[in-house]
Amino acid sequence: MYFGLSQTQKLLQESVSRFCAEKCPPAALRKLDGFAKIQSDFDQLGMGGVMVADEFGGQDGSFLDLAVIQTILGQFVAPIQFIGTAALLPIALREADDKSYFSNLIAGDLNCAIALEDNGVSFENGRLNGSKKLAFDIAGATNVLTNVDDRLFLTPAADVEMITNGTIDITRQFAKINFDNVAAVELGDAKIVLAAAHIMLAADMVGAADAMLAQAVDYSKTREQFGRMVSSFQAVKHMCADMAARLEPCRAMLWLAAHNFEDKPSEFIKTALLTKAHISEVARFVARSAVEVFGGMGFTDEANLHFWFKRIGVNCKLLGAPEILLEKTADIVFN
Amino acid sequence: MDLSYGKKYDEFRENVCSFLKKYDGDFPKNYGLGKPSQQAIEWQKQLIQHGYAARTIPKEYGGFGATPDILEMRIIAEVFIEANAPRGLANQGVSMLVPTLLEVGSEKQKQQWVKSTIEGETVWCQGYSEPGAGSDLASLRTAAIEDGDDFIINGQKIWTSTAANADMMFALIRTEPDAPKHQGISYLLIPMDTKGIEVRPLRTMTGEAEFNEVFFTDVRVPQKNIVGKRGEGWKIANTTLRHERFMLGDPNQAEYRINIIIGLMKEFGLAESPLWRNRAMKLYAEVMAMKCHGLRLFSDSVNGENSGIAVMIVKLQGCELNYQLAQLAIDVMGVDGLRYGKSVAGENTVESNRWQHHYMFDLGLIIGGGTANIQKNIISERALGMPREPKVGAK
Repeated sequence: MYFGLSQTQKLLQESVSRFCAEKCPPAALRKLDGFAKIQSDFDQLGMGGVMVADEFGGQDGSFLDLAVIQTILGQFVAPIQFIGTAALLPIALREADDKSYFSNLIAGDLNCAIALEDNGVSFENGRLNGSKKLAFDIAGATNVLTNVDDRLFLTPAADVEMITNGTIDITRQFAKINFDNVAAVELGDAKIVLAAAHIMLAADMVGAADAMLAQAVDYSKTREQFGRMVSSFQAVKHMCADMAARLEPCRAMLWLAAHNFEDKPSEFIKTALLTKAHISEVARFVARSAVEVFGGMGFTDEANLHFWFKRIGVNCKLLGAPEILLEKTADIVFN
Repeated sequence: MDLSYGKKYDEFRENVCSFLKKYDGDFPKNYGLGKPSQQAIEWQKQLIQHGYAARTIPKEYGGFGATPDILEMRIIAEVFIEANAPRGLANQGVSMLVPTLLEVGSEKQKQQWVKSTIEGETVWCQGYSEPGAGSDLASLRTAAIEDGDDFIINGQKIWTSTAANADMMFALIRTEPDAPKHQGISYLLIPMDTKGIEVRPLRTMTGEAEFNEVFFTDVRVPQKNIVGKRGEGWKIANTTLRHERFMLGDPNQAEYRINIIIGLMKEFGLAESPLWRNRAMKLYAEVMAMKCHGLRLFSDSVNGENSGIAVMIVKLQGCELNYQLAQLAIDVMGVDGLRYGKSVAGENTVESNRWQHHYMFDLGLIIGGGTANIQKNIISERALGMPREPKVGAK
């Protein structure tokens, strides 16, 4: 009986931490034209192959391996695309006939944009038509993963029209994607891949929330007002305790939800919906509370805290706000 | 991650199951935390004999004497809960006094009290809190003056559940008036039939007297009734208090409640309503989070790992969640959720009684055993390293 991260997973986290600390400290987030180099340096680490099967040259890892890597990327608000390529594609391709994708993936030649929001696109006579309002991780995309209801499709990025859109989160790239009679390969159940995306975004939020709480607590121990450290005011202590207390169970929830992919597939979709919905609410609470504890300085550009605040804010809504995810859960639970 | 217990425990589980199967659902009722019925005492004897109660208590003190194995304990609990069988006495004597004696009691005290307590023959109550010492328990003022080989005790304890039926009290008494606040307290064993002890029921807002006040007027207690050394009572009590904190906020209770609520929503025609579905699923998610958290803590115990902050948040989050679940159940039932008391004119009050009682009593659970704001102090100080509250009055 062991409910926790393995030594290997902890080592994965440590090596990603070292990479991010060196390659994308907050100062690097201000140099948008440096993002491509950070991405290609990260791709060199070969983490794209973590979940790919051994027979295709991958590391035969688990989905939890990917989730723990993503928590570190969130912790550093890293401008690194990982979800589509390392998690969603390998899962989507399990059912595919064409296994050549895997070798391209391992070689670092694939970059998968994620266009999985509900609605917007139809599939008739083998062609996709319509648009997805806000696809993400679109920088240097070679392929686009998209859905029509519960059907999953993969298309070459060159075949679609991408109109870059901005959000408050500059650490990720977004675009409206227009499909005009685009040929696509149909893969398996979109719900499973969507569930995986939910968990990866939840993982990102746990890491980001951890970082915000830590920064807020540390700052409060250095900021003096009214003759004492702000950290000594009970109201401030209680805000931090609230953040910590709500965040801590999210960790275990995330691990179990990810572990369900291999261990309890019948529960995977339901627990993914619950996990993203719940962690979105907790992370959003941590985000605003941490900035408050950080005070006026937390509100400035210079303090950098806003990068995490914005990342969490956008994550909450990507691929379904909590209300929508909980309604989908209710469908499962009440039937 | 590996949630299985391993093959060697499958056989153990089967053994526990077959033990219970023999009884065919015919288990003793009215177990409770007070004076056990004769039925309950017989049941407890059976359980100890088979190692399903007092499992790790040494044989020499009347226990089963097994090596501590958390997975075995967990399996026993799971199987008993599944079968709706009473799990063995869990009163304050068993859960708090016995572990304390085993850890720091004298050989004589262990011989004198452990067996009769775990067998249900001796019932204990806990004399800690006082009207003037709740959150600030260490400021307690019930005091002992030396008189020959005895102490003479004067003062008052409050929130002593089971005092009315108790044979003995384990109490924190100030025996060293000149010592600093936390070093002046001793852990004393006091017979409840001693002259000068008066027990008065303490009625709570539920209408029942789940607790008592205990008044001490010149109560004579032998000094040898002390557990551990004089002035070490605070340290001794803290180990058992930490254990109590972990017991409250049980995630199984939360899961039990949300499943009932889902049934109630269907029964009251709310299962299609987006508003109610949203509210219920929000709590459903919280229940899942706390359940996963419980599994993580369980794993830490099994593997001997330090849980750090994870164990500190259980009472705070768990009790709040259970309370919100009670509120949701009442809301779901609408007017039918408000009735309290005997069933009248064919309207069944069993379900509403249960939730109305929770609505009152569970708030007491948030406050008692370390109130929510104290939990937040502990989390911010011990887990986040923020400054402690200023201490006034501690010398």
